[in-house]
Amino acid sequence: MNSWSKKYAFMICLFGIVIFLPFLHPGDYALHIGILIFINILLATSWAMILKMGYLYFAHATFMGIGAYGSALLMMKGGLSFWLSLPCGALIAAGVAMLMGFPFFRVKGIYFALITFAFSEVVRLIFIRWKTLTKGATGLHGVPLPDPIIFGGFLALHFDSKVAYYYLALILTGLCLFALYLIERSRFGFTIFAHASSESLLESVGVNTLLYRIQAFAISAFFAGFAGGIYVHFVRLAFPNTFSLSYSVDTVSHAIVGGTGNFWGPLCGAAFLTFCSEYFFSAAGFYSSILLGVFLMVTILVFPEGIIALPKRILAHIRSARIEVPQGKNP
Amino acid sequence: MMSFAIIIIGGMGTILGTIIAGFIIGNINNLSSTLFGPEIGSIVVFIAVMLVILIKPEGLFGHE
Repeated sequence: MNSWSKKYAFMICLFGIVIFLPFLHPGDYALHIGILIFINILLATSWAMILKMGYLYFAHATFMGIGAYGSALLMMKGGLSFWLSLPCGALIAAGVAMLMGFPFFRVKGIYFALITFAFSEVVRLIFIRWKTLTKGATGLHGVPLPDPIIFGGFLALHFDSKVAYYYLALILTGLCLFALYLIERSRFGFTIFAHASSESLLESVGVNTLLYRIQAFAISAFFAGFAGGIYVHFVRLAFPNTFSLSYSVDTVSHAIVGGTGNFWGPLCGAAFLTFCSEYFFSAAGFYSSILLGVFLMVTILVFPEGIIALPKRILAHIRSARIEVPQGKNP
Repeated sequence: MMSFAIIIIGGMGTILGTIIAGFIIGNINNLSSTLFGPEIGSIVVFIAVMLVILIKPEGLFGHE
């Protein structure tokens, strides 16, 4: 059994556990964490696409919030069904990203991060101020659950249980990850990731880098808004302060600790860190954020390529330890 | 958050920039809050931050 099929066997086992988790009766809390993990996976993977383009930014939770408020309000005030309001909320987030991309992409590097940080504060304050639309700082209460799927006669699938929402979140996140994988592997994705090496070289070849960057930004914001829609119909509450810098920094740490070199890196980082922060909170209560911060620092110092690169590094250590033993014996 | 705005507008690394930007931001914030409302004051400050980053990213008194 070579390492290639061992890796596939491991992934199939993991996949099986994720799909059949509710049948093991782990309890509502575990399913709750699972749904949050799916949301964070989608956020981290879509954010990492822009990081691999060479632009680090702190506004991902803002697009999540625009998608969340959009989906919730379209369903509550617009009367749309969930299956329409979720993509429409995400499209609103993508539209805002496309609009704001034109001023944002005039600057690079740290200034891009700062201008997106300022934008996230502006949008958060707009959510608080626009009371007639978003009910301000008291938040939107009573966001409806997804509409039940009715199969013909009387067989209906209601989403009021955590198990049903777990599978909904799993399927939606799986579809979004599949779409992101295809986008990142396509010619479009190849051009996007070339921006990180040398944008001026791309421009000299004749690629309209501004348009490619704005399109990538809009795609990333679409999936952030999609994750926001899944989030808001799960917790059924929308507060402006949830979708602020704090959640964006969480997304950044999920993606970086997971490792951005690989497509699956942010997935591992989001799953691992969400699980860890919930575990630290239930074990240590008040000290959980200190523990999480120390954990993050140790992670970045010891394995900066991320969690996804850990198996390779461990194997490399083992192999190099095996080779150097019989060296000095031959006369 | 306001301190971030002041540093960005004043320029990272200049003390004179920070002082003058502090005066400017304080006045903008309080005038807008009184005229329009508390959150709009902060919105105006952060929109000013975005404009400064677009026009002069190093800040009003910043170098490099």
